[in-house]
Amino acid sequence: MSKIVILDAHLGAPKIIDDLLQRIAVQDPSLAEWIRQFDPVPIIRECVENALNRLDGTSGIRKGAAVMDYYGKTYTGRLDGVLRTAKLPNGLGIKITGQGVVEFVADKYEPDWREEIERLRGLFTDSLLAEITSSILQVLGYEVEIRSTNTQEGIAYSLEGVKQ
Amino acid sequence: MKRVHIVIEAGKVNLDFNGFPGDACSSEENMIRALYGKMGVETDVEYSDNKRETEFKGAAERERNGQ
Repeated sequence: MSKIVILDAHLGAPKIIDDLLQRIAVQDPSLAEWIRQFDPVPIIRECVENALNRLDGTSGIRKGAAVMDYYGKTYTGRLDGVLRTAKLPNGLGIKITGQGVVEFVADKYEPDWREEIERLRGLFTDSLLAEITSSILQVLGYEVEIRSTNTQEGIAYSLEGVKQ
Repeated sequence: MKRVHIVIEAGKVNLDFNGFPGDACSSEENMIRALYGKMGVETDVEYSDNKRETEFKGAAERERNGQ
């Protein structure tokens, strides 16, 4: 049978969703236990790296090395990646906490920067969602293909998962 | 053959399951959403076409799979 589900997705802290795990455990206790136990942080790190690489060179985006503030002072905290555009030359930093939460770092002083930060956050979030979704499908035994298309809104990702 | 076609755009994830017998679409959806949660993605169901899944109780898939 077929089914369509539309999810509203946003980034947050990794967590165990008990009611879903209980339903999974009824059919596949070992998978439910594996989901409960596995450490997601290394996979999140890999997905963030892939998402950054996927965006590099698209929609005027380049990967950068550092984030600066209005005065040109470099952010000295740990970053896992930086995105930069002509409209946001000081960059948008992406960092992953020890718990696997993805956070953003940027100077929002100029209104144009704020607008570009929101655009980049959206593009990065969709790119990361595509990478995380691909990883999830592979865990569940699918062969996965990802395609991306430029749209008026930004970039749309299409994933095709197939399994026997 | 089980297929899932997923479109991601502007924070929306559109999952389209095909070829799953009976209520297996919901099981697969549960697994995907549980793994999303574990990977730091919070999801709210904006739309779910449950009627498509339950209307025929997976009869066509069971027949096709010789069950």
